[in-house]
Amino acid sequence: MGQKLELAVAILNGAVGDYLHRTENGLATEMACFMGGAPLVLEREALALALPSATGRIAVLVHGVMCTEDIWAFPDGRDYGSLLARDLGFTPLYVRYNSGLAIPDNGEALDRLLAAVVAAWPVPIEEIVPIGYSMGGLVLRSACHAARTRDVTLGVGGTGAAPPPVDWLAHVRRAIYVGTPHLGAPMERLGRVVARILHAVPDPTTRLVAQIADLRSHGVKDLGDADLRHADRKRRGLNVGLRDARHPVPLLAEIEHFLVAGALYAEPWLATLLGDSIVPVSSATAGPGLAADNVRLLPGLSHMALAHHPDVYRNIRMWCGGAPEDTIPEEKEAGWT
Amino acid sequence: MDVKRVRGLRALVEDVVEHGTTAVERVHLTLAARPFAVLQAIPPLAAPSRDVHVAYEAWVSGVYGMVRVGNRVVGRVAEAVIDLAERREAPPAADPGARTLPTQMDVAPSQL
Repeated sequence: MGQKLELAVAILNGAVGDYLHRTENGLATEMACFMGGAPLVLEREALALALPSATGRIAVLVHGVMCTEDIWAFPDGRDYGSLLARDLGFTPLYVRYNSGLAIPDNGEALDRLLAAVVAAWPVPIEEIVPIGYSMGGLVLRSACHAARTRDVTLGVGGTGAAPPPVDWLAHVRRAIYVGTPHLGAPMERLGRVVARILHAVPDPTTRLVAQIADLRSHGVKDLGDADLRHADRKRRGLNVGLRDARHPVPLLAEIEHFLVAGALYAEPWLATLLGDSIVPVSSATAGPGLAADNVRLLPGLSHMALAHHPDVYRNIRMWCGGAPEDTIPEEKEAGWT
Repeated sequence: MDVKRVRGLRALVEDVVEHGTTAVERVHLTLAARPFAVLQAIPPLAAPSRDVHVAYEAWVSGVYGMVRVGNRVVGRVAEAVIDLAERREAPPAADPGARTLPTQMDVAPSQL
């Protein structure tokens, strides 16, 4: 019941979360790090108590639109975070957020959240590896952009004077994106075109349908062109095409980026056209200048399956410094695939 | 579900009914205006159909208005019920002036 309720609230947040936030509705989700279904208090003592075996390597997992951190779970309850903890000594942090808010707003919130995590982390930090699924990857990129551009960041217990900057980005050497629409999602752009056509029809009933379609959240609308900054959203009105390759925010050069894409079909033209059913391959693998080893196209995987699949984990583990082994011990016996 | 979310759900349902009723009312009045516009174009029927149209719009707006008023009343009642339930579930506040009788566990064995 608890998980279903949280999922229902997450879907509602994804659909109209910006409205819930604007009206201060109690159903609006506040961004936080979750562990075992409960939010973590980002204070040093509280974190030390909640995470007694915290290590210096942190994996930050950011879910996609209309879901919670439960999207990462394999059938046996494990997930990429817990497997990274077992295999490579990472401490996983699961971010939950209101996916209906604009991606730039969630990016700024994640920037503040990660600064607070770094300030309160109970042991010296060696590395932070952000892992974003679907919209979560765009929120990560937006947070990186916010961290790069902000003037003053959160500090450690600062009183009175300007707080010292907490540069969480300095701990990030690699970022992993799973099924992330780096060039946007054509389905949202198609929905935008349909809504415009409906608005243009001089019939009150059709316009009512168009108005209902336009109620979808800022977060969903931002997915159309993968808008990472508020400024990017201004170009939205000019583009009604099904593909937009002019993304104005490049991947950060100082971080190594790893991209995973799914493709429902093995045939190249079908894979290009349909991708993982939500995100086209061209959008999920859009990383100009990335080495071939940094991009994986996994045939036969749908968008939802990318969040919890052994093939994806094998790549994540390898990119995080693990051995490129073929098997995961519990894969077969637990029936993950 | 915690009380904050229950309150949020109540507010959301009230908002949906409020805005939904207003949107449907607008469509209703726009669609209904079309036959009246045709009738008002016919000279002998123009005056009476204009009167009927005004009366019809007042009646329609009244019905939708009643739905909105009823929605707000139900919302206030639901809010009051939530308040009541929250007060009942909350632990009673300690009265610093009140004397409490010692329980058996508070009494030293030698006093028994």
